[in-house]
Amino acid sequence: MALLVIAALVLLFLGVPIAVAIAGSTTLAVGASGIFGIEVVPQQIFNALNQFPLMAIPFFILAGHLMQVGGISERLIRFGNAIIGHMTGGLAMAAVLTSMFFAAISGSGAATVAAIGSILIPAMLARGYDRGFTAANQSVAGALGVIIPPSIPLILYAVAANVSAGDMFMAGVFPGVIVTLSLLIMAYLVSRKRRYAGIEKATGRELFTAFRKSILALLMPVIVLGGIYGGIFTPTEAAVVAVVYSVIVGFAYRQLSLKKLVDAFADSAVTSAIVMIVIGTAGLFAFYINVLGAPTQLAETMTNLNLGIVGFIILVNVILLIAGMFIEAAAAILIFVPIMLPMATAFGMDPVHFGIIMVVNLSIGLVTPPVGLNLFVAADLTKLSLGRISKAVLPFIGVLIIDLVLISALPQLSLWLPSLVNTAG
Amino acid sequence: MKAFMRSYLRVFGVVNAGIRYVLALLLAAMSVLIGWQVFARFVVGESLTFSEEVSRFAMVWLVVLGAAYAAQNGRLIKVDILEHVLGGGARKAAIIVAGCLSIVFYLVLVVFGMFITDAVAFQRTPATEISMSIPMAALPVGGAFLVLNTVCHLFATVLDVRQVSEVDEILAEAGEVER
Amino acid sequence: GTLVSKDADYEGSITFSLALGPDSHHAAGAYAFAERLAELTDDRISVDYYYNNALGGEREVVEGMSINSIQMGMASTGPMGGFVRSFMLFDMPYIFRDLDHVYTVLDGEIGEELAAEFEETASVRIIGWTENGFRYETNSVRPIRTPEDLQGIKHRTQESAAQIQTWRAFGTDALPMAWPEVYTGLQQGVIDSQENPIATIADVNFQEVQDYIAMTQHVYSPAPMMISSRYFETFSEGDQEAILAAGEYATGIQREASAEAEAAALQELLDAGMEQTEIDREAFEEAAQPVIDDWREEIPRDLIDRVIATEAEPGAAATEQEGTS
Ligand code: NA
Ligand code: NA
Repeated sequence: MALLVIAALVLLFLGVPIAVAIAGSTTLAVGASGIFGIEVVPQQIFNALNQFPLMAIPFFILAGHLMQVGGISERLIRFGNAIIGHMTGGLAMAAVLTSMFFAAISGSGAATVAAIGSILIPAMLARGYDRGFTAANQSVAGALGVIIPPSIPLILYAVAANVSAGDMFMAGVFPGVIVTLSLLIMAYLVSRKRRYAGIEKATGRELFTAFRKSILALLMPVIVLGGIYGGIFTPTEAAVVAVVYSVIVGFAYRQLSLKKLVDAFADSAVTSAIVMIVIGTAGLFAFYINVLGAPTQLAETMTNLNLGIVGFIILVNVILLIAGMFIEAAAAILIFVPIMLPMATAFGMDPVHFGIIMVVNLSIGLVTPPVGLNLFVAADLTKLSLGRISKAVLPFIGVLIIDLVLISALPQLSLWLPSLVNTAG
Repeated sequence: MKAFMRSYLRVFGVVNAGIRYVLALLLAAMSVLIGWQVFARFVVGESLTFSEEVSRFAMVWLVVLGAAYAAQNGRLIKVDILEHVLGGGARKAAIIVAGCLSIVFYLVLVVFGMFITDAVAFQRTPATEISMSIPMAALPVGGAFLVLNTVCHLFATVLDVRQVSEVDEILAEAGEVER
Repeated sequence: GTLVSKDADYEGSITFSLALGPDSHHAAGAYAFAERLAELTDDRISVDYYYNNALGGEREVVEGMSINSIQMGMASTGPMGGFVRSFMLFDMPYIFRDLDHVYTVLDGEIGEELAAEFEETASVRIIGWTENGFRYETNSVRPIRTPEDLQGIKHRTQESAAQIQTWRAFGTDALPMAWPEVYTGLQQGVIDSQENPIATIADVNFQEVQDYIAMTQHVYSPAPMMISSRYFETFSEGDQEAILAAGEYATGIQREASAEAEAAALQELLDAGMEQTEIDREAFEEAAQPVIDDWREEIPRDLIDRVIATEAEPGAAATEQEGTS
């Protein structure tokens, strides 16, 4: 086990791909232990990938991509501006609000930053917003992408913890709203202090037009969640329905061409592969530490420490926040779920609530240096150094941590909605 | 040597363009199969018996081939502190060390992937009753392309060829301007 | 891995993968195996358990034993038809009449033949015909007595051509669906009906989303206790014998635990308000006949007819239990 951890850390630091760091160190450990042959390495990577529920990942990535190509981000931004743009700090708040709408379509945080940020960031800079604040606001708003369903980390958690993806989606709704509200408040307060004025107020007619033009996109999460809970399709199938819907919307908006379609499929395939190769190798890692019995031993050690549930949740959050600084959400979920979930259930926590805590926590990792994809994208859009962005994002991380405490302390925030639809269904 | 590197990069530019179409095709096949599964259940009240299995195997192939495709310009997710901190020759050296270590692992995938592909050859899959070797072969084949494309990345680094980063890629996909 | 032969006084432990949890009838069999093995080897050899498919699903576990990455396991025969065609036998509807008949077949010549074929092809040795038991249909639409009652019901099957064929022959809209999606599928009404052993049905709480259980007993599912052949052969001859003897002993205990689990689980389902119906077995057998006819040639060595022709030894099930308790 020590060999495994040290080898993984050294490989990570040397800058090999995370997938290679995980699988390479496990291969070393397997070879050194001689418990079984190295052919287990490719076999377990295959087994980890050969799971039907994972198919939701490429499908949601593709759906988000098609929506984007279909010109949906412009429409959502117009709608967000019409609702809130006239208030103090209007554009900053519109960035948050629009990101929330987009997050419910896109499965990915960085994609949200890119789609909304590439339009709103130049607009904010032109109106005199501070560069650092603009970048930080947009990258944190993009982190919403993984809390509001559909979300790839939520699906991954469902697979790793063997809970329903539909329940995870439902459980993400209120925590997503809480984070959105807190970011809106943050943007408002900062803007008031710095006197960032709003844009011209939209008339009732303009607001209605903006709404009408975004309605097809806004309906997507309704179709996905409604379809799942209306008994029409399974969560995995919902993802493909989202794809079909996006193609239809794209053609309805007259934005799609065959060339764009082919590009969207190819690009989504590559993006999916980049996420999922990590899933495969994390599966190998999980198999090996399970054979060693490590999760059970750790759970016993933890119970003997007499931390109590509060101490345990704090410890988990601290470990994940640190891990999230360096590795991205997908890898962290697959590595930590097999280790942490047995402890959480031993403490009597609901696996769905625990999953939401993990995902919210790891979404913070998307905006913490040194490794944070959202930051990199926002840095590129604002032409800022990683150092300056990192400093600007600190107060936002403070807000997110307060949200995290709330979401950890109040299980009902996560559990009420899924329990409601399940008893009603 | 530099001439060899250049022609290697040219050849693999073409190979990777081909892989890109294969990837699009795999994802399209998955979408059509599962889409049809939902549709058929609605309309006919029956669903395809093989759609799930075929699309699952397509997904495994998509992941390893897609990872190999991304490796050509070092786009696989990594902790690239060293790359950011170091400059010039040291930065190149770091990329080359990481690349060589990765290649060692990919070779393990190729060799032992062939072992396991052979070991499961007698198994028939439940729905389509094809040999289990067909999906499993994704690992050794993907491993081989990972090696070849990581070499691309190393050659491009040595030659100072400008490479598209993951961030470039995400932004390009969002803007759809540069394509 | 490295396959070094073990000494006659080898001390160590065996990894044992289970599909169910520590309180299950599978675990009861595995514990009995460990207990007897410890007795026979003067506590030299112990067993480490991995519950709830922690090391992988059923196909993956059998494959793991085949390449010796998992040493022992208990898994249903569902995925084994892919390894050895003969095991499609256990997908055939209404070829087993009752437990006496089942145990006469499995503990006799046919069981031995299947085990030998499996070891030959997959390098996995079956050391006891432990079980999941008979399987039963549940649904949320109406009580089932004849195949006519199943007309138009959306029924989930595993991804097996024979199972899909069977449930279409029974009149349902048969839909293959991955196991992780079944509970939500039933809950939300994507599907109405499913079939499983009763202990499994209660274990995953299908009573929360299903109203009727029909005593269909349409197929019998073994869940054999298995050991990787490559691993088995590293033991000394004495220890090999001890492993086989412990497996035989555990089989009786596990079957008993399975019967108890089935009875307790059925009670649990009824207490939760499910309605139980007895079926018109002849009508179901008749509906199943075309499936049997289709597969008669597919499944080698005339196995279907040989099973049907086997005369149950009266009390094979009862003797089993007396002999071991
Ligand atoms: Na989302
Ligand atoms: Na981070």
